[in-house]
Amino acid sequence: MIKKMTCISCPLGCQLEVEVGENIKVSGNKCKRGEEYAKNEITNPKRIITSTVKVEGGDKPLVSVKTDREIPKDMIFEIMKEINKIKAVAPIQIGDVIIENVLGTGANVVATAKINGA
Amino acid sequence: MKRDLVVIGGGPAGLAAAIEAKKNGIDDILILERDKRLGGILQQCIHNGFGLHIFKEQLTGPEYAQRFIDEVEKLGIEYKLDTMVLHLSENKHITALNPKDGIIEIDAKAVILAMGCRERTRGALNIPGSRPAGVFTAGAAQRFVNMEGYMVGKKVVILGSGDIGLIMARRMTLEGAEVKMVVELMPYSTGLKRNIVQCLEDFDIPLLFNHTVTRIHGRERLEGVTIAKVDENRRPIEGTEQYIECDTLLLSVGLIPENELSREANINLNSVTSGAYVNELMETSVDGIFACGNVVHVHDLVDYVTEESFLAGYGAAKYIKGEYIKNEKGFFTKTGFGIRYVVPNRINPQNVKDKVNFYMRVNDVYHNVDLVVRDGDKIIYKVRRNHVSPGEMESVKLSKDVLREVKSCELVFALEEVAK
Amino acid sequence: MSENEKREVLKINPIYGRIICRCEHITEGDIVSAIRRPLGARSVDGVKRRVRAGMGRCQGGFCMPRVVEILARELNIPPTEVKKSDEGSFILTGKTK
Repeated sequence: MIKKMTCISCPLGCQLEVEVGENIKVSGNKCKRGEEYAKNEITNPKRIITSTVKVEGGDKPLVSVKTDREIPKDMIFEIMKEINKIKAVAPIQIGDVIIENVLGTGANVVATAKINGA
Repeated sequence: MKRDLVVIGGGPAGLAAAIEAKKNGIDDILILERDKRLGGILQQCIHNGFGLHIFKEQLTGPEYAQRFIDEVEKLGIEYKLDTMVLHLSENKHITALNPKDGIIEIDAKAVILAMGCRERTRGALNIPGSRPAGVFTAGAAQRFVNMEGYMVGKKVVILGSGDIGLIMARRMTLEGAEVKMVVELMPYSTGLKRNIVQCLEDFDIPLLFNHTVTRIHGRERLEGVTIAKVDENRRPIEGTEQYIECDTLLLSVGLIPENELSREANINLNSVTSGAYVNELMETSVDGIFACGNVVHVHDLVDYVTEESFLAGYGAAKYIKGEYIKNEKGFFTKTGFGIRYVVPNRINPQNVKDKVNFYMRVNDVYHNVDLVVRDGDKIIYKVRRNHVSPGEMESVKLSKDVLREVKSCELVFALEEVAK
Repeated sequence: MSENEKREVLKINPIYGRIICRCEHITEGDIVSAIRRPLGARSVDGVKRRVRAGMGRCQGGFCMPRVVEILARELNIPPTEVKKSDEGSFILTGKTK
């Protein structure tokens, strides 16, 4: 079976053709990430999540966050629940860990913006 | 006061331009930013995908902005926040206003315009019906959700498949809203393909091409919209109307460069891009006024904004130091078949550092074409493209050596059918 | 106001130096006074009618979130209770977090 997909690893958006059989064969990719992306999409699709977390004692009400590595796509909404539960305390630097190893995925939720104390 | 260089706008374009000018020997620089912080619209673009070109890694908007803010701080470049430029004249006199200093009058040796762009609105679309609450531009909604922490609605329809609309479809979904559909007037998306995959397909949000919103319903708060299919002239087809219940309509129908100051300064504007005509160093038609980023033409990748802005900063530094060669040598760039615009518009190879990046957009979707650059009859550059679309900017790099050899007065950028 | 009058007002109240509506050059001071005056503005459209904030090219795209913030502060209500115009024309539906 041949599956067509768009690689989302970068804004180029390569159009991939993926041969799914005993081995997964990928063509149409301009770099290595395309092959990895296609294999993951077939076996275990993954995504980075970005969102915001409530801030206490900061000069802004929210801090933007991301998972520092990809998490399984089917866990997006469960992880969003964790992100919505937590509060971060200012001051916050870019890269500060807000949630460690979120739901055992091995990914940390980290701050992507700098927040000063109020 | 007198300043060597004033940069209007502290978003990605202004920051990069100021940094490059400083690195090229200009010490007296002032950035004027209207918001309460530097970084511009990137601060509300909390999604990732920025920086692959410049930093070789995926950053979120605030992270990308912070790298430049840190550099500005490290280099000791002066900036004023909460400061709005009210007037700009052709002789580079600036009037600005802020709460701390009141009215500020500045005479600059050189000015860099980096005001960015704004979103097209419902007015530009002329959707009939009432004017209830619940109709937002996608960017205004993004500010509410990502910066202030408020939801703008629960059941959402998005008109236009521009990148901000696609990004907001995912964002609203993650925050618990139901995004019913994205409706696109054209037969193709104006956003990046990857955003259609990761923002719509991942969440099973339908994208309807050749459709538009024909009516808005509701008195106080939006209650629904009527959508309809359009014909090849983009006019609604009678009998295809459908009522969609929703409390929110987000508009993502395009961006326009903000050139009110440029107009006041009598800068020649290109009616296709709505931005200034610029030359090889990003100088506009007015001596010593440079421009870069979305105020020149709307980009889809901030990395390209950065590249272009470094060039404007370099150009302004050359100008201030008197190293900029002004003569009538060189040539114009022109669009041929399939190309809607190309930037920059005039090249004097004598001023080119090592290369020029030409940015352009096509006017329709094409498959299997050659993007060709011609100097008279001679092809000086050619690249095969499997797929081009108006939503995705194309770029062509030409080296100084190649540009020096151009013989005619026009360099033509065009698409050509692949010879069988 | 003329530029000279603006200079005078600015000395007394710096919020006349903060532009909120960039298209029409309307300051925070203009908006606050439109809210505080007798029969003052109670909604985003009320502010728009009195001082033209949001009437320009961007149709409030940039300034509407800030006008909401100012209305909430001046009327001492949460932003979710700020109206576009009449009763029921709420702009925000809740907090994200």
